[in-house]
Amino acid sequence: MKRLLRQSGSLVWLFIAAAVAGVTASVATVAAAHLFGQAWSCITGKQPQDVTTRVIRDWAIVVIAGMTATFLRKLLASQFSERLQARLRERVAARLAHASAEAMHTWHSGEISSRMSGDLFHVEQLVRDDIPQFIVQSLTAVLAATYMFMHNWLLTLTSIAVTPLLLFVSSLLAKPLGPLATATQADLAQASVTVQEGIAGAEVARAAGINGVLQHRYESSLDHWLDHSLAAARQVAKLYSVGTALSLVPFVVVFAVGGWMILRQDLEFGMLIAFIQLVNYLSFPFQEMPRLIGKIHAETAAAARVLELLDVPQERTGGITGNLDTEPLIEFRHVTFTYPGMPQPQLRDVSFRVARGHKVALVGASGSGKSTVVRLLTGEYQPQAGEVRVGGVTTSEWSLQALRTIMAVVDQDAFLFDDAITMNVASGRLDASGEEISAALEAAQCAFVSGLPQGNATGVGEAGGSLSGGQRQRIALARALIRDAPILLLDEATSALDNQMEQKVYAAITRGPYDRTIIAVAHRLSTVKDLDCIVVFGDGQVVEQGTHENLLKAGGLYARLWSMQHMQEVPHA
Amino acid sequence: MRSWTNLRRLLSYAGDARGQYISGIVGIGLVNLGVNALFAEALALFTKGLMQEDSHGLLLSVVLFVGIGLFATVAILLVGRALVSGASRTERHLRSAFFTVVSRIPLATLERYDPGDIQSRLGNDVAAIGQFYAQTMQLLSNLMIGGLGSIALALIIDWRSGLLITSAASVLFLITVPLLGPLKRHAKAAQSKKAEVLGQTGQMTRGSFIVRSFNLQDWVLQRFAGSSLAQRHEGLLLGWYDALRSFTDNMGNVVSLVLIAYGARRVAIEPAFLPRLAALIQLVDEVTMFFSQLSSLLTDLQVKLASAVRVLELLDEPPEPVRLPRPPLVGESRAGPGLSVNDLSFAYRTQEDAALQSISFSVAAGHRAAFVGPSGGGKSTLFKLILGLYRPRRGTITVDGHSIYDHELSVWRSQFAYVPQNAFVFSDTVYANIVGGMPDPGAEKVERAAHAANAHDFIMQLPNGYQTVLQELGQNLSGGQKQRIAIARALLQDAPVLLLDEATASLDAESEHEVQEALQNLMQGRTTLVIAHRLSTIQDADTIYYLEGGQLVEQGTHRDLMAHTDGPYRRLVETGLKATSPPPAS
Repeated sequence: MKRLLRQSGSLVWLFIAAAVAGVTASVATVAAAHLFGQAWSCITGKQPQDVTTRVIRDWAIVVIAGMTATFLRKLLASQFSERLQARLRERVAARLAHASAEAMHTWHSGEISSRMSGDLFHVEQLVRDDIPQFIVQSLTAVLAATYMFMHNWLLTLTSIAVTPLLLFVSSLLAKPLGPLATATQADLAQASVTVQEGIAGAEVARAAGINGVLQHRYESSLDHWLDHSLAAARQVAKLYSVGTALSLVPFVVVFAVGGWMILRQDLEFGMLIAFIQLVNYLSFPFQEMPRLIGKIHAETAAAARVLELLDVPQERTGGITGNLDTEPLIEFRHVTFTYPGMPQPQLRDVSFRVARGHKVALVGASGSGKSTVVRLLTGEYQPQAGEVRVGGVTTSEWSLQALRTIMAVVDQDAFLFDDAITMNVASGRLDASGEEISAALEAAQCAFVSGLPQGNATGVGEAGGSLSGGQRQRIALARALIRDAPILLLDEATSALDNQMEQKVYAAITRGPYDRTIIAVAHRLSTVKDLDCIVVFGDGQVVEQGTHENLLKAGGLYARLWSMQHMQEVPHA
Repeated sequence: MRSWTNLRRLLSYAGDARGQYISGIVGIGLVNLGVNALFAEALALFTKGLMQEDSHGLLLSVVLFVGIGLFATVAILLVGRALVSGASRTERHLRSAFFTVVSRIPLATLERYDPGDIQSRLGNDVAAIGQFYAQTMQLLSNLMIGGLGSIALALIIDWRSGLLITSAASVLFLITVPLLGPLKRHAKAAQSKKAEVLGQTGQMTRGSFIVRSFNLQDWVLQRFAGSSLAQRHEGLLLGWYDALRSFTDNMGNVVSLVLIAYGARRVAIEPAFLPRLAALIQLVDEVTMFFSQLSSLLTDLQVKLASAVRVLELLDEPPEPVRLPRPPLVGESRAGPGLSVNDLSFAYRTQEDAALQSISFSVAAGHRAAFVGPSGGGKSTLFKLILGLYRPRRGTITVDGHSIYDHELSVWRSQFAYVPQNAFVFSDTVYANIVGGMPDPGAEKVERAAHAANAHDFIMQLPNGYQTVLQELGQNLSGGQKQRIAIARALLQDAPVLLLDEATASLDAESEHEVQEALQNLMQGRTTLVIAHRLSTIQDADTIYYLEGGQLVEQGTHRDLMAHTDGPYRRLVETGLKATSPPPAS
């Protein structure tokens, strides 16, 4: 809570103003009830017309003041809430954008999304509704109670005497509803699985007559659901009934006891009317307070979860730049690296060199450490032992921004931004011209874009539903090519393409305009067999390296992998 | 008018719960009205008693108050139960109907809907209609019977005062009406901006590797800031409208004020009006509630009706016919034993180009036909037509001389065993999965089929053997295991014709072998049509059909087709093999 206030800075005045408006509204509520009673007294007591008129006029002023105060309270609280939220989410975004790879590795993206949606929404409710409401409701209850006790303590006590008992009964009645709700949800989930299967297996279900079986299962889930629902209905009806009693009892008591007091001249009729107006506010501490406090607690916890995002570790800034004329351009020297939190090292004593302008393939079984090489090269992680040098300088000394300017990466997932294709390509080099974008798309074999509804201005869509995996990979490739960086890193960048397309893409890249250094992580060996050097990984280590011919001759792991892949492949129909 | 019909149709699902449900709905409104009427009467009596210092009348009114409390508590218990139970039973009928439709509509209709869309209609829209049955109808009844009744009662007690409070409340209500449109618009806009901001956040986190590698931090933040600012803008506007609308929250106070101001003058002239004034004060809350909740009722109804439209649209889809109608100009066919397809054409929609164009071929009993060609060439469509899942536009299919139009679809389909590419298992026991839609043939036969499908051994290793319940969509089985269960199902069916859609995805070597062996057992002695991806399967076929663009381009044996130097089949085999040319001798 304190941290939330600190984040709000100068906005806190908006919140204070909202609170003042809330206090005013509370006072107005009690005053209005009092004046209502006074007016009633004037009418029944046959006061002179001008006295009555004055009381009614005062009452009108108080009602209008109360309405205005409520309006201001809502307005100010909402303005505070919106501005605070905007401030929070922008600060969080800035932290996330500059977060280190390690930090993003530990934070699941769904977790961040849930904090930025669900938890931030709770913060909104907390500052916009619940805290102001807590202030107004509890203050009104205190004021009403004080007023009533001052005027007639006996009537006040008797009117709320039964309320705690009824609340206790209703909490008892509500208890079985939780498990019943869970049960009905589970029944519906079960039924929904059947529907899902009926849709997913529609062909077979129809062809093999399985629909009857599915329908039977679905109906039996619904039977359970109905049983649980009816049990809940019985409980709910009882709750309705107690709820009705809860709202009626204080009135009945005020009328019965109050009427008797009036006859004994212990109470004015007008006061009774004022009591009727106020008696509901008294039940707030019993009825609403526990729920509201629980909610505020939960929401404060949600606020803490949002604020935690402000502590996401950031990537380092600053550093030096290497010399791109150094030979070898890239060098791994006895690199050993373990991902944070993993028991086993991903790379063990890995050494290899890449000369400037060479095209090198990294091959090996999945999980053997090839992709990790890419992560180390871009300075995402630092090895625990040994060093990774680019242009003669270790990646720990490089300025990360400068290091990444000389590299272009295509990763396996082909992540694209939810934007037009052109925008995605341009994100590779923000000052690229339209012609450069078209050229990059062409080089990356993206002829398909001309067939899309809006050509290269077509949006890739959230999760890229409209594009195939291979199309996404080629757009990601165009984004890397437009960067025109001296080093190109391909991390299974063409895994979703078919053989022929992959050959074309590789031909286009390796034919590049000048001597680009390429490191390609590849699964399909036929794709990379013509490259300058092939580094074979096995279980985190470099097992062998050399050209395709030499490696086949050596008859080691590479030769085995080659013959295995040959056996498995079948004509693609 | 349309929405009225939809409403009535929703309520018609009450079925045998009708009596209970209607009594619940009407009852809840009546109890509400009754309590208010009696309270007003009691208050009038009470005031009269006090004014005339008539302790007898006062006592009577107090007894009445207590009586109302008891009556309301008991009555709500009864009508509340009728309402909620009736609503649940009605919802159950609707849910039953939903699945019946999903399982009976033609496959082509089902495929028009996105599977996620149907799930969302079930998960969100049917659930919303469930709320409509329980909550919206309750509010409707409270307002239409309780609220309108109270207005009528106020007019009966004193028409001038009744008119005054009704018009005061309605004026205050009308003032807020112009706010409702913008309120809804901005709420929707705020929601969509919020989704946009969330989308940006998701992109930032999921694409964090790309953001770092391409130094795009400032670029993504700039995009984020744009969306964030737009969200803030909408949120601030929404705050204004929402605060303005809050004036209705205090409507009751204003109406009471107006009534008392009027009543004070009236009583000064006509003292006997006092008890009636007291009764009217009691009704003010109910009258203002009618107006203040009217708009939320209308909004709610709109939301629920939108759900109703989406659900009813699906429920209105006509079911699959019992027997496919014979297309015009298709005569009786005379074909021999085996499967024969004659001049078969099909298009997905009437206006579209044909997905299959006059396909004719026949497969003699016990022979094997392999279908190859690029994806989208029409192979799967052909299978669906043979199974009667789609309705042909022209042409006919016969098995042993009897055409598809001569049989009921269920009988026609029983002639086929179909093994799809992605084996379908459902979340039931392994045993039930093998038996499928047939009557239980007994454990012995099921196990024999499982043996022949190479499935028995792994089934016995499952925790409960054949009685092991498979997880949703068979998540606890490997792809090869699911396929072997599907093969066991097909073996058990023992249908004369086998339709096999070979899996493209490669399984691990061991599974691959087991599945191939099981498939050999299955094809043994059966008329088989196979969509083939493996060279071995293709080579063994009696005839190979090359389908492209919905047409039969080539047909013949492997040897015939390979002899055709420039033929598409030969090209397919060669490009497939090109990438995997044999390794140089080492």
